[in-house]
Amino acid sequence: MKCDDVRILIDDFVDGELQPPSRDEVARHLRECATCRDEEHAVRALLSEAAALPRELSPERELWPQISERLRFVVPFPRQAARLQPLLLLAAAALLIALSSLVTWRIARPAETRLAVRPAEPQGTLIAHTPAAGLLEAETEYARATDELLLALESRRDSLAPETLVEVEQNLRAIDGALKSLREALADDPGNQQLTQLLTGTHKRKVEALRRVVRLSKI
Amino acid sequence: MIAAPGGAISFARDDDQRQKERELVRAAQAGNVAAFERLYRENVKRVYALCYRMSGGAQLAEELTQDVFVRAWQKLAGFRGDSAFSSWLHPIAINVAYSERRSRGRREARVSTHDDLTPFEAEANPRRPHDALGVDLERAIQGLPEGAREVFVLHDVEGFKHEEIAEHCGIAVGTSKAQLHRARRLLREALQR
Amino acid sequence: MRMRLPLAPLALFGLLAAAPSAPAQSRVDERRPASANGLVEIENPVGSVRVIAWSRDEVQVTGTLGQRASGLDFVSRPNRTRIQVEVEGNPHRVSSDLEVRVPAGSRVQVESYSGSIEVRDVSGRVKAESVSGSITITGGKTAEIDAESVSGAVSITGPATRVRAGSTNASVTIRGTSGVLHAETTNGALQVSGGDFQEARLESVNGVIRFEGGLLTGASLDVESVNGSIELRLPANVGADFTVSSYGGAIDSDFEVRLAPSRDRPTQRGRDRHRDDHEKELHFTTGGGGANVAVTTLNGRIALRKR
Repeated sequence: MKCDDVRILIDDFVDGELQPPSRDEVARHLRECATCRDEEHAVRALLSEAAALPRELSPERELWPQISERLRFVVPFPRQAARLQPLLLLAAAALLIALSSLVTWRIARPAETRLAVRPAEPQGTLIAHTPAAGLLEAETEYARATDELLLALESRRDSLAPETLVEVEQNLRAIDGALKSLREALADDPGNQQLTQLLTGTHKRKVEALRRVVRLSKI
Repeated sequence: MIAAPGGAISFARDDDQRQKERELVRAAQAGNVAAFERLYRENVKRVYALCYRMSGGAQLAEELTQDVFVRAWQKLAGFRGDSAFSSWLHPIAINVAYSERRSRGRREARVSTHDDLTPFEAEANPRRPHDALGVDLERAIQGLPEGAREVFVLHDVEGFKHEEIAEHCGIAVGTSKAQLHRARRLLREALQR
Repeated sequence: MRMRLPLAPLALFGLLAAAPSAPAQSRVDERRPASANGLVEIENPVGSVRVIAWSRDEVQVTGTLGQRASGLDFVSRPNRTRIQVEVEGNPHRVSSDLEVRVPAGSRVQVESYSGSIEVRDVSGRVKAESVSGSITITGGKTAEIDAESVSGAVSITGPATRVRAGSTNASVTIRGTSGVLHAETTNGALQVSGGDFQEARLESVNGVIRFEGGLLTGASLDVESVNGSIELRLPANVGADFTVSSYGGAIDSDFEVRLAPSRDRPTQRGRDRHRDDHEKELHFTTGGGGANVAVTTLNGRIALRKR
């Protein structure tokens, strides 16, 4: 393992989040590499400092009078059955290791809209055809952002209206269609600035749309 | 219930303390404001510390702290006493601090065309040679960009796991990790280590 | 200060663990003092929110809270008022309709999930967001508007000079604004008719884009779509440098296209001059130039019309 790779993984390593074999590879590298060991020590030092921060801080002024004033008007919530909180904890792909595939939505059954996060058929052939420098990287970045947002949505599907999932899926299909046309055009004319701009813009629309839903669904 | 190691659940609490607290809670649930004030006194500094670090400002932290206790009063009926009051209070504090940030962020956003996916860097804090280390770090945390600060405070200061942070803040686990790494990197740069 | 809920619906909720049958909707009618140009924040997940400016230094909330709403959070601080419909559990089954009167100079921020949002005659900055609710903002002397919905239509009418508007699946319609405008849709139509713009950026993926307005000297008008057709209606004597490119669609112009000599034409994309047969690109100047108009589309038709 190279120093660059270790640097990316060092945080997860220190937090105990790595699994073998990565964990063992990092440990081995650290035994042999003084620079990376210094990195590790620096991270650990920061963490122990953070853990040593005072647990309590005093507010500068007395807050109780205002609180008690507000309490007079607050009607406590009645005792209600605890809301079930299904924990949909999806292990996110290791984002710091480059993603190689884009993610598409599927609706498994109409009755139960499930968001299946599956790797798409590799679209690498179109992108890999002499991509403009940085375009592949930009697309990967957007793919990453999209994945994160899709995962966030999945983990919060209980606070979404049922129609939302269907709409989001249709939406993404429409955008993906446009992305496909753009990639095809770019394959014929790689480096075309206008097309690249349209491609980036379309990705942004996609990310923004997802973001809007994720943000607002926490209402 | 979320348990944050090192603070929220205090295993050192003896049964006597716990018993007294339960009595206070019961009294408060029945409407006794004086009892609630005792609970407030015992927990305000902890709550304030969390709000202060998450929100990045004393004035906002004071408002948030008030909001936390008002909300706690509102929801008190739902506390069954099967954990310490402080650990029940904790997720409420996080929720209040986090929703405030969301709504404040949207309010302050200027009209702009590009949604910036690239992280912006915090300004490096000038090194103050005579400051105690702890104050230095506290200040550096305040200088972090919001998302990074929140995750850093929740993970490295409060001790939550990424899955818990993801659930509370409505972000993906991967985002939480990415924000944490960013925060640590920025903090080390600011502290020049 | 917090609003006290009328006790009757609460009694129906009951303080017992056993939930009785759902209580009736509860009516709301509350007022709080508010500063003339403070911030008013409103959150209502499902239903409708209508915000109307008035001349009092008060915020008034009237309307109905849906069944199973656990309350209305109505907090008033100096300069900041917050109104929030509170719901325990899944918010999507509780529909509440609120009418909020605010001091005319207020800044207003409204959020909903599937509730429609309407804001009228407010002069402070307006920000409105929804997932599937429509957003309508009219009147007032609002300088700045920011409206976003995922599936709801966004409609803005008024003299605002800084507008940001977006809808993913539905249409965005802007009337009467000027100055700065950033508007986008993914699948819906985007229509703008307004005054003179300094900076206008219109983007769509599959929706049609229609723009009618004027351009100040040095202004920039950027229009992009992937599949949607684009129609621009500009003053007949507009002075602008145009860059118009389309891959698959035709370009049709009322303006006389006098192409600049090739040495003045900027080299595109730093590659060789052989262009694909499909691409059409025009660079031309009208009225002596001054503003910058850039139109780009993959498959859409482009029409440049004189007003």
